[in-house]
Amino acid sequence: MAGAELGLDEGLVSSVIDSQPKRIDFCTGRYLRDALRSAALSLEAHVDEINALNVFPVPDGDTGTNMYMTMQAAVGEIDKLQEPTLGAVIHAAAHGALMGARGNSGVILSQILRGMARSLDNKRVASPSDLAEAFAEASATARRGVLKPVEGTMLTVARDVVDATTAAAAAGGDVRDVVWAGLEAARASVARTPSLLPVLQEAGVVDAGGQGLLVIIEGLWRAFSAEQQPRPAVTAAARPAPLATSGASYGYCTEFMLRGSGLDAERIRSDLAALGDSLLVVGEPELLRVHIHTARPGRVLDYAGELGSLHGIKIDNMQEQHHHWLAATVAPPPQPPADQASEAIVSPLGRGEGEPSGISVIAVSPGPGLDRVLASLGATVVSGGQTMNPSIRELLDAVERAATDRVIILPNNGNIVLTAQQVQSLAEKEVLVVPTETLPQGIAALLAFRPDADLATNSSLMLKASRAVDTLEITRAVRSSRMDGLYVQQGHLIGLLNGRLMATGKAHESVVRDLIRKARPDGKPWELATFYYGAGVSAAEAEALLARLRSRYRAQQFDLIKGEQPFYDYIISIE
Amino acid sequence: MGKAKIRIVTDSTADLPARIASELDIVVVPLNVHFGREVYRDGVDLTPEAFYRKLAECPTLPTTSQPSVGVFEEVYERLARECDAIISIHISSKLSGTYASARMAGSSISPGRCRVEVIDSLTTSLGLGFIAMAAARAANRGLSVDEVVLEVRRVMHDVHILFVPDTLEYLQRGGRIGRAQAMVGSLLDIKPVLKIEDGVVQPVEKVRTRARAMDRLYEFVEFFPRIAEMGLVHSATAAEIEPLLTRIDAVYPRDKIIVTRLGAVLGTHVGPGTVGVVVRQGDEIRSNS
Repeated sequence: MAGAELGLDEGLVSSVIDSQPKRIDFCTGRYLRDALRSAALSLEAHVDEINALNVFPVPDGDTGTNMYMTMQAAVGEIDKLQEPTLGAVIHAAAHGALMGARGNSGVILSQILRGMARSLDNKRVASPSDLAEAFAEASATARRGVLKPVEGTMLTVARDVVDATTAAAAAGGDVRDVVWAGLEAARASVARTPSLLPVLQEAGVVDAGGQGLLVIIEGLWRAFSAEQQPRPAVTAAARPAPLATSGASYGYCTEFMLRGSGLDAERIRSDLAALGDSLLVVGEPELLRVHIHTARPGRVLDYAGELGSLHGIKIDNMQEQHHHWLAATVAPPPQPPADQASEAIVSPLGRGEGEPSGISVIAVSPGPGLDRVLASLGATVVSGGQTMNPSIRELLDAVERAATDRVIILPNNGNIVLTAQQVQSLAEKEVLVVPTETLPQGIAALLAFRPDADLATNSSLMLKASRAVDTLEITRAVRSSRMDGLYVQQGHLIGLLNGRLMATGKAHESVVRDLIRKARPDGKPWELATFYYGAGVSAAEAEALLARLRSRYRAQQFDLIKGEQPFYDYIISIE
Repeated sequence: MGKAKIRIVTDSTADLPARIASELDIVVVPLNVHFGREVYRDGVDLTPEAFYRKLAECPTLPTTSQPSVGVFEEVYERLARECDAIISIHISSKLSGTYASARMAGSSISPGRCRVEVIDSLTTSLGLGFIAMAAARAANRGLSVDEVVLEVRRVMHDVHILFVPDTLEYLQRGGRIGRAQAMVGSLLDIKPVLKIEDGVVQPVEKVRTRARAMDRLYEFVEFFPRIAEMGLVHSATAAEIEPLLTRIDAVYPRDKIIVTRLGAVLGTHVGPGTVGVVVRQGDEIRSNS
């Protein structure tokens, strides 16, 4: 209808919009598609900037990455459409975002798109007031999805955008006017966030999620205005993939199950190390799960194919986020023999019979060493280091692959809790999320799991157990900052106690001791400290640190475990 | 017609203090502990104290064996001369062949002469002990054989054991680890909290510290609204169990708790440092009624 009248053709953003700024009275499917693509591009250009806004000066601030990947997933679904009608475009975007959402900010963004989809639904075109209504529905949906909405975040920016766009539409503005009004409101709102959230004020930054939303709206604006747009990477020729194995941003995220007999995980790990990075090889001699970021997925599959049969092969082009499912049937998890306790990757805890009426526990792990620890305690492991937040789809897949009808998820990271809760509402199985925010909380919860109790009992037992440990985390500040009265210098060590920045210093020992003092201010005794050392720490260093600490704390036990997590030199539990 | 005279028989794994066994007239058949070539009758030739000393000194681990059919036959023969019925209650058949020996021996006594009922308690230690005590009390009250058997079956449901070995090694080596096998192989140092249910050892929870494990034992006691009898059985030191007893005293008077050392046979299978609590839930009983 309106699209034909405006003489639009297919193609790239820059050719869609008329070169003369004239009234755009209706937003068509093609407009929306190009606008969303533009938004994704805009985010791509600003990922690092947004990541750097993370209030914590920690190296794993990933709001930018999460929102970008969520947007990429949305656009990926749109790209598959044959006929980009308005309804089809927005529903595809919402669906793609839903599946690909990562991290809290990603999930909120997916809720925004979902609200828009619900409002625009099957419309062929959207008027300015339709758009304003869609933004209003989007904002409300996002707000509803968060248990405790906080002002001074993306939610505030969204609401301010809604006020402005509603007013602009009511005043008779066209689509361009409405988007412009939204953009102006977003800019002002983001600038105000420090006044609403004291922690932003102290750190001297605006809210990262809000900034992300602003960048998205900038992208939308560029599509609707006469400004030129760089060629979107989505339809550009693929950049030549470097043969070097470094850099997680290049190459293919390759995952598969390898079934054989007498498989040597150590050997396979060292053989594959040459082909890529972010390598994981976990499981049993009969069934291994392999995950690698490689420029040569074919080489990896050839190699593995010689050792056994391959199942559930998944290759993601990490640049373009295209998903190819090969051999789509995933082999059902092996039924363990009845007299042998099962420790296969997808088996329920403590049950030798593989009964479907049991409960599985899925735990998100920040590092390969921790993968092994969690698996040894009976959990099914999903990898998700701080910058490798699992998407809704990845968690959902793990839930569906589990051998049981009831599943418990341990997110083990504050940024994954919302994702897990989304999976809970999407999954057909009965899913319980125990909202563990750190790995030690997750381990405590996992230890408290009772395979023969029901979900409700486990919920309270596991939650209680997760609260009985204190978590200490040691990492390096990525920028100088002020938080909670503490001045932190870039490059210095920082210590977090149960998620709060509480100590800083140049040496590990002093930071740890400072945190321990603060963890037990009333002198409440503790017995055991477990140190999970990260990928950046050698075993010798870690042991030396523990030796010094043991001589200071003679009454307590210190355990050392290789965690291999990125960014955090030590994750420590005190109990 | 006079009332049937009923005698109660159990085995040494019941961990019955000698005083109680003699007061209630319960016959205890000993299992055997083997240190190399030497064989000791549990509780007869070897007291718990002597056993744990030997365990610490001996380089090789001891093994255990059930009483032979012959031993049971002798006991039943002797008793059959003076009573009308024998109720013989034993350690879970999934943990020991004792029940099988007893059954075989029981079938050799002609029913006209003396009725022999052999019962698999599906438990052990004081769990079994409390069941035997309940049977003895019921028999003393003049209940019929069938009524005593019914009572036994009822009490079997009321008896609960929670225990914490220092390590799973002994259970694993002795082959009685049952479903707690799933707890082995953890890369973290853990203390297993176990129960006996359906006749086998089962996992309850893994905790990271001994203190937490003791917490669980206390919480176990707290859980029951009415406790008829309680026992604390252990292969640890008096110093170690003292804090737990003090804590339990707040909810159940410690002078009513039967505190006893785990016998040699059970000690072989769980190892030193084990602490367990046995609860028989229900209304308090007046002793010997």
